[in-house]
Amino acid sequence: MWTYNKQLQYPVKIKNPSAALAKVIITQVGGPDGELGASLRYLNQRYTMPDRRIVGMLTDIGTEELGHMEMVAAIVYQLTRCLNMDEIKRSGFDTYFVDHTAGIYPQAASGVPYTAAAMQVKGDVFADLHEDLAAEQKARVTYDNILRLSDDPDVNDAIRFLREREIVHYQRFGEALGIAQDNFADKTNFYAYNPEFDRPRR
Amino acid sequence: MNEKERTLRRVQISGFAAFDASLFLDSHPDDQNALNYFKKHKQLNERAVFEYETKYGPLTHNGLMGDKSWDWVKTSWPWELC
Repeated sequence: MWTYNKQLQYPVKIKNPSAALAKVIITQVGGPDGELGASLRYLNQRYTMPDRRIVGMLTDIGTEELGHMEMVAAIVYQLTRCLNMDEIKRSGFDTYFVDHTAGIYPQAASGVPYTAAAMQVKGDVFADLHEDLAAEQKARVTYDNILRLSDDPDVNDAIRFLREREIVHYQRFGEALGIAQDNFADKTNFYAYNPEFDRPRR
Repeated sequence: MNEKERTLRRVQISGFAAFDASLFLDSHPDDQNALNYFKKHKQLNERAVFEYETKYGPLTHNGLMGDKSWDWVKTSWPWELC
């Protein structure tokens, strides 16, 4: 169950609105490699995991990703204050504005609404952890790309924090994979059985 | 940074230190160094939270609130700019 803490994990204080930046940064709210997808992926994978350490990690990282979703939404919210119609038209933000005004709608920068089709819960600890390692790398690259597109220091400060967290999560999932390999793989026949299905935890 | 932001920063920093340690502890639950680190920063965080909530209102439903009004909806939300 979740408690809400009325703070951002890291401060977001954007002095200069920018519709052009909002248009791309929204992708980390509802895009294929964004924070909403990350949280749903980890929080749903954890139920059938065969080791409580891995359940704990997926729970805690999944929860952190919800906090990151909030941070990115805060960035977009602050970037879209007091916009004038000229900037909205010039920046290409008009196609988002017409449907959502300055509301936060979970979609990719391309306009595709959030979809769970971009994630997987395979029900196999090795497949799922590899999915998670890849997810963190994809998120990291997306933040790299945002940093290439932005020269706003307030935005970049928060984005750099989020990017570093992706790298840390990648390390953590690497350790979880080590736990899985040490405890659930038959060393002579690595993929002999699915630890989440053939010999479930309880 | 004003005083409110400074006080909140202390909450965020100590909270983050404890949280990051918790991720390590998830895969190393018996590491005594990590446990001590977590405990230390959790205590710092509890103190910082108390300091913040006394002046600026609750951070969770269980946080400090007067019993005359539901301050949860009378204090600022994290994405607001003032």
